[in-house]
Amino acid sequence: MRSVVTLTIWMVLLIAPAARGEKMNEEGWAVALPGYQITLPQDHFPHYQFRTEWWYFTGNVSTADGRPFGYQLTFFRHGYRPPGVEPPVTSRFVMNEVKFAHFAVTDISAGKFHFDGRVSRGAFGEAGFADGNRLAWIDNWELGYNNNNFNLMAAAQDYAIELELMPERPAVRQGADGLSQKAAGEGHASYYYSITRLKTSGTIKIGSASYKVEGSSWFDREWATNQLTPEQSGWNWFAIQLSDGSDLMLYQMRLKNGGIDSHSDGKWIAPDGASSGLSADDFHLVPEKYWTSPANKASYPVEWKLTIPKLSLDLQISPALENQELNLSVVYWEGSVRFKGRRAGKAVDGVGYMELTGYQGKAPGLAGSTR
Amino acid sequence: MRYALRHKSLALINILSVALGVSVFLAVQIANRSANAAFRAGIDVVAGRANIEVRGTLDDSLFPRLRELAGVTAATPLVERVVTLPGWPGEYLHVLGIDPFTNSSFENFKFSKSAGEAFDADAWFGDPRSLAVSKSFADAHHLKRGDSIRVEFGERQVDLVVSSVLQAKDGDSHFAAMDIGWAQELFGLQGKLTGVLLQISDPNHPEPVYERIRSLVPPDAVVQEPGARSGQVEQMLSGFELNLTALSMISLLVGVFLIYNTVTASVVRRRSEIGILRALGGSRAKVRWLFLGEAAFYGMIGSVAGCVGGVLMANFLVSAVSTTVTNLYVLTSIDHFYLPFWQIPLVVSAGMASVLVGAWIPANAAANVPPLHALNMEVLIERSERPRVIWLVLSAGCLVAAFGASVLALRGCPIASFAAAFFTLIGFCCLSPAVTHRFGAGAGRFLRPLLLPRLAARNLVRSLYRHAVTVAALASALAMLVSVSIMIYSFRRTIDRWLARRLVADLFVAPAANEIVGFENFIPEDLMRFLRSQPEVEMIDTFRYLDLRVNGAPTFLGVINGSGRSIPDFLGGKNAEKYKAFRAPDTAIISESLSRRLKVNQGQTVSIATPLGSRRFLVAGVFYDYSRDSGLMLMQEANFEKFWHESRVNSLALYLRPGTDIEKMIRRIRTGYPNAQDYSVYSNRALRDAVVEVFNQTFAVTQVLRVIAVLVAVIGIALNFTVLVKEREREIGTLRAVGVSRRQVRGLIVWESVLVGIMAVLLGVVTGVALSVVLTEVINKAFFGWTIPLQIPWDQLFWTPVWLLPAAVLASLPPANQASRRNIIDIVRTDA
Repeated sequence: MRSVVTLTIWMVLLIAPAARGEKMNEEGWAVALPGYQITLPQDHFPHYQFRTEWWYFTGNVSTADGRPFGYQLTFFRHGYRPPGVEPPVTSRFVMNEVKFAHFAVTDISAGKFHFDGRVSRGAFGEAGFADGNRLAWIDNWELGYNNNNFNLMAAAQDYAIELELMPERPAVRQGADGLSQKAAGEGHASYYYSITRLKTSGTIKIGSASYKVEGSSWFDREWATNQLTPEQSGWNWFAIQLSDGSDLMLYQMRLKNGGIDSHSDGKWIAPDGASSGLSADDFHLVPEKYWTSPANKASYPVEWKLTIPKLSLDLQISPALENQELNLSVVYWEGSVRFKGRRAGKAVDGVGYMELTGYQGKAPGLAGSTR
Repeated sequence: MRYALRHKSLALINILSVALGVSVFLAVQIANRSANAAFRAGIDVVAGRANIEVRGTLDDSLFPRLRELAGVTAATPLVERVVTLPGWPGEYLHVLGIDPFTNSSFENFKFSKSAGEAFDADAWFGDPRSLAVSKSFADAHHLKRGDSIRVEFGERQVDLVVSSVLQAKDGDSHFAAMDIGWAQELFGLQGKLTGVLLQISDPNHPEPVYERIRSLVPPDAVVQEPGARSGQVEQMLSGFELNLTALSMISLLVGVFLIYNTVTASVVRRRSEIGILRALGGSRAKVRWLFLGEAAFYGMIGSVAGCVGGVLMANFLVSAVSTTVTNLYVLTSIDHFYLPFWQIPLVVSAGMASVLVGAWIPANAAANVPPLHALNMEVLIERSERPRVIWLVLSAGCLVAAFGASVLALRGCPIASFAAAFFTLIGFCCLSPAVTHRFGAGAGRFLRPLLLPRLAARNLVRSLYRHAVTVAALASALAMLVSVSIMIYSFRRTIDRWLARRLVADLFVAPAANEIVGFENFIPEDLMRFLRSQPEVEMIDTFRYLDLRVNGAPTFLGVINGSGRSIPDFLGGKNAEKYKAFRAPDTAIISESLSRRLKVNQGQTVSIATPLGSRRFLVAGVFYDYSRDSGLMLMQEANFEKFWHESRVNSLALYLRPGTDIEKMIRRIRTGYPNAQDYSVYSNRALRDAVVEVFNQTFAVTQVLRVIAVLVAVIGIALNFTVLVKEREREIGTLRAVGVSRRQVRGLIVWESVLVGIMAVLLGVVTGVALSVVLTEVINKAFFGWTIPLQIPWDQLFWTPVWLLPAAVLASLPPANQASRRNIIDIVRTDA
């Protein structure tokens, strides 16, 4: 009797992706196709049938006396063996997926950028996903989820964070109802949603100093199997929280030939929470200043001029600190940025995060490692 | 220098004799160092920058606990297994299951960066068959990414796929890597590790970390510095390598004699030149340095040529050494020649030193000749017709020194045994003048009726020291040949007797792969059942072998269970009584070499690292054993199971009912047992042959050196007579002038070479027998601790003159012909 139950559970699990309208590629991974309904909180949890996914937190916080910090904490899952693949194994070292995480803090007034990465097999439970109140963890780096709130904990050699995040807005589905097409062709897409404002409070430690901070975070959640194509070289991504209460997400997919892929995309969230999509033609991003990494000579466009005629929006984008390059196994620039400009004739400013990938080495997304 | 150019053959002889000695010496050095380097590189591949390694069968849940120990800064787990490759018979791969996440700081494996060879994470982690092989292995076997490679272990054959290539380093090419998870799955080692490597924060004070580790791991796990393993192996190898070095130095010694001859010849030929130089006011020192400088010039060219020759010769020696090391010590393959830079100046200095030693006496003699004597044509440099007593005194002194060194060697200073061999050789060489004189005089009387032989014998006495040195040179080359032959023969006879006593079963069964990889594979239950069910099988003895630490020293344990028909020979006899005692609880017996190594005798106890902790065992006896140099301990299975709780066995000995057709029985096993192709089934005869084959392989190096000795002997004869003929050109001219025919001149020289050959054989054989006593009773006892009763291979000794004398005649023919063809007037008129 028990074996029949077990068998039924297995059947359900194996059939589940297919039943939910997902399609497998030849290696047995599901690919992102239209028709999937993102539901929360279920989709906060891992999607093992997809090859890659991440939980991406960035934010700008400051102490009561105004000392500003930026932070980034990201957990990644990259699968090597899709669920149900043969042969079944018993070795704890055989790894169905690798767990890795990136953690950075920008100490803006001190002009210092701290970053670190962790990667783990998780053979002994030291890393994993969805266990009790944790969505993901590697050693003492943790993403907790409790009563709809997120708890971030991470400690590196000489800096650490402990933050509690409360969503101030409902999640917004990116792309077409959550399907973010990254290139032409079926399956070159991810499922993608964001919580664009989370009220954030907690502590940041730098060296022996500990700072009580408050501020605002941004949460991106994305899973996919092979969203990019070999012609794409990387992307520029912006998370923008404006002082008038509106939020904006933009990304540009860059092509190896120097052009911009037409599958670039954006989403505008008005102060009242109403969202509207932006296509590649709707926004213009012009780089205004480059910063060259002393570590590897990569040249990043760190200042931009953004115009979105449709929204009567003009913004000057500048980094809180020029050097916010994460020189890890994948090299990219991800950091706190500031905005200043006009919307519908009124002055606005704002804070946010910018990510620039594919400027050094190969585009991380092709290997499926970061965003 | 001008002289050298004018007398090309003499110059060539000088250069050749130095080159030969230097070549052999260098080749042996390269072989030794390459063997050590290969083993050390193997350890580096596995251990990399680890400070501590934990080895043994470990539960993999221990790993995070070890990693989190205070003082440990990094840790990485390992799963290892040696597999054979059915596609390339005799080949093996040492497969290491590694964890790329934790092993990067150990820097033991680096993946190739080139396209098509680089690390492919998707394949490595996702594909159970994914294997990374070394660059040199991939090249040697024409493998590229995606090619499949069949491996075999136990009864399983599995096709793995080459997914990436390990960067070429000096390491052993037989190392391959795969993900630790897939290695556990492949080898059925789920939940187990074979090792953990650790880095610690304070490598200078590791003791507290060692203590913490030992409190966690099973008591029989080995916790040590990785270098300790190579140290232990190098220590084991050192005796063997020292022996090779000593043998190779004999070739340098032969070179000294040859140089003595050629320089003497040059002094003789140029005595008028010396006279003129001295008469014109040239000092003695100038004359001395003239000859020494000339010899040094030859020595330099010869040494450089010898370095080239040594590298060429090393090609042959290295594979022979590799086979011996694998047979006797550890699984090793020498892929790379290793020659530290400082070896070259060392070898060249050794060559130069041999030249200067050989040239010193004749150069000194030349310097001390009064100018008038030198100018007087009638006075020969060689005037003495009686051997000086000093040589006999020297000989006696050397032999006494040899005896003293032997005593010292056996009392715990093994290196002194080489001094014993050296003094023995020199002691006998010093007898050469006396032997030549007695023999020449005796032969002169005996051969009186015959003109040419009588003249030849007379010549021996007349230029006594010239001939004595030739005889000494040949005799020492022969002595090396004879002594090594006697040692190998005695060893072989001892092994035969030992085999007759120990191998008494009718059939022997073992996993075939173990012949290549060691005791990695076991006899499965169903094979055991199959064999027991055969009506002809009367009894089965089982054997299990494993590495073990006794009194802290690594050694080898054999676990036996069975009939007790194969009783070893014990030191001090009383075999049955001691074997009975051996069956008591907590009792073991040890081999002679282990007894010597541990300094433990019968009746004492030893401490053995068991999985239940350290336990004391009583040594019930010390037995003769020739299976391995590092020593062997035997234990009854009941005693073993009590502590190890496992009963796997590596091999079986089957006793069949009387009258059973053995070949038919082997066929039955071959056809009746499904996986029979994975097992070696030997009849008693076939196994003995196999052991003898291993024995022969083991002595392959010595065989190579023997061949070199023969070459040295034959070349030596040719060189010496070329010198003799040159030296006596005037005399030959005179003979021709008084009516001696060309034929007779040739005959005279051939007769002389026969007489020299006979003396060399006599002295060489006697010296060889004396040296063989030193080899078996002193060097062997001091380094290996084997009892080898001396046995003389009379037939081999008998055949020595049979091949040497014709070789001597053949070698003397070209110089004899040359002498007989010279124009009489030319050579009589004046010295050239």
